[in-house]
Amino acid sequence: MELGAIMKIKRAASSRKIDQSGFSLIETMFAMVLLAVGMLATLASLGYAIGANQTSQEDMLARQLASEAMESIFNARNTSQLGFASINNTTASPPGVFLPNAQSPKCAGPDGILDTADDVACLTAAGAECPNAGIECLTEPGPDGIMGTADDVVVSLENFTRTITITPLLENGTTVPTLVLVTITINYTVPNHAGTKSYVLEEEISSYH
Amino acid sequence: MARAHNSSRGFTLMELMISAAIGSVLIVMAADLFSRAMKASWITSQKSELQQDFRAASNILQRDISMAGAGSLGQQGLSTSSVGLPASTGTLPVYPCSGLTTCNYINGAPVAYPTASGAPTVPFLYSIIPGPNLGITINAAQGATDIITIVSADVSLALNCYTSSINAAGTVVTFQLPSPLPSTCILPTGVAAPQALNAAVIGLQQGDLILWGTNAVGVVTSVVTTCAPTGTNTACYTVDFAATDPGHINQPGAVTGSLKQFVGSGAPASTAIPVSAVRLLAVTYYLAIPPATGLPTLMRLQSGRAPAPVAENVVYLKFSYDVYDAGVVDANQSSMPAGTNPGMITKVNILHMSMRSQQAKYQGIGYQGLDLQTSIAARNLTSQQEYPISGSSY
Repeated sequence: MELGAIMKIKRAASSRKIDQSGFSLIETMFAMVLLAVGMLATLASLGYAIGANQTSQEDMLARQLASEAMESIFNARNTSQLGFASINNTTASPPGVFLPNAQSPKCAGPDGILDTADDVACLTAAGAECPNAGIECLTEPGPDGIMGTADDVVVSLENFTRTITITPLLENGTTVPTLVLVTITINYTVPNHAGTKSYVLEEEISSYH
Repeated sequence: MARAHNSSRGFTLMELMISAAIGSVLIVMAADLFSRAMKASWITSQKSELQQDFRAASNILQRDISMAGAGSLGQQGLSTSSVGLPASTGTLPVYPCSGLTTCNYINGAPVAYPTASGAPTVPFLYSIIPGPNLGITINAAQGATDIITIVSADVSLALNCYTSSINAAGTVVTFQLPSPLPSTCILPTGVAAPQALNAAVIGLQQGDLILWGTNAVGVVTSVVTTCAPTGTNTACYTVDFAATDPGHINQPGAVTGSLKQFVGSGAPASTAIPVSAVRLLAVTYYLAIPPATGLPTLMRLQSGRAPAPVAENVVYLKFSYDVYDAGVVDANQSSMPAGTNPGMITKVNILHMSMRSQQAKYQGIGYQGLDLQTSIAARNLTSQQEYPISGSSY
């Protein structure tokens, strides 16, 4: 064999070797990391969607908690059960009936008005006292979808607080004697959701029915 | 030559085994992830559907309750909260009924209207009629569910623009539209005439309750027919109030509360009714399990019309009431305390409206659930408590 022919074969062999080399380990690792980041982003959006859904349920409960307190105040005003001066916080002067600061939601006592000193423990649908010392609780039918069975789910609203604040309204620097502002603030936390959410319901209430 | 051979060699068995092991671990992890994602998305879809149904049902329920006593029950003076029903023939009116043949929507049996304390035989149509434990029992361990009936006046149909007259038997009423319209007939700007009484949607239908003045109630028992207007009248409709309604509201034999009271002495063929009429909406909410679906369903029955489903999968319904009587508060009552009547209800508390999701099972996950608890002030019923104002500085 000639020398030239040997050289030719060697060159061909070496060039074939370059063609056949695959990805290096580093390249493969890099691609996998990129893929993982992309997939994680997709998963995160799924988690966010589920979280938002969970939050919407708590948002709905917050609205109920605020509106039931507002309804009880207007109702007491309408029946004259509550004199207009009593529609105030207990810390005000003269003192009213509504407890100041954030309160865990309890059930209305003998006066039918929420967040007052006579509030009582709430009961579940089965008639037992709600957990966490009677903080308002929901009774859900549980996995079998039937109320009154062992798997009923009692959901304590311990992650909610309700604050009723009564503030006088000013006109030209003078307090309006026949009108106050009722602010009901519901603060609540949601599982898997950082921070506290708030729902605020404000209504002005007049001494005139 | 040796190098060329080396570059074309395949994987060794060991390499293949290791890569297969790693690959299968990855596939198992991915499958698990997929399964979890499927479960999560199932729960999410069930919950969002549940919340949507729940919001719709609670909105319509709360809106109806807040309307209790609205309209003419208060406007026409007297008791803002109740209308006496005819019963002196010994047959008590019952509810909730539909159409002309059925009065068995709840537990297969009708319910008697409440009677006022002191007059035990006179049933009253109150603006709120509590029905504690009168609903169906879905699970014996939980006990019976509640029903509630809310009565208000329907001011969208301008029935007070018509004059009415009644036949000698007290069973057929002729409505005529006078020209010019009476001063009590107030129509929206730009509208020249009230709705026709035989109009398809807004008009009178079988089962509708009509109140004349303050104490005469009748239920429509046939399709409205037209007739020839007399004199200067511009429209004429004939409406039957036959004594065959299943709710026993039409009782021509009764001395009080019936339409017969308007028939003049000597029973002339036609007597003008001196007071104007208004349509009442008596809305009853109750749970039922329609055979077609087999699902516990929140039903809404308006007067004597056919009941309509509001939401499926409502598994529990309970109410309590705040009753206020001249300075004494009875809060959170499941039924009327002694000495009070439903006309004294000032607040309705929805204790429980528990719902479950549409689908039952998916890979070991059961129903999702939600429960409504809130209060609604009976705005139109508190007015009778307002005067005289006691214990208030204003």
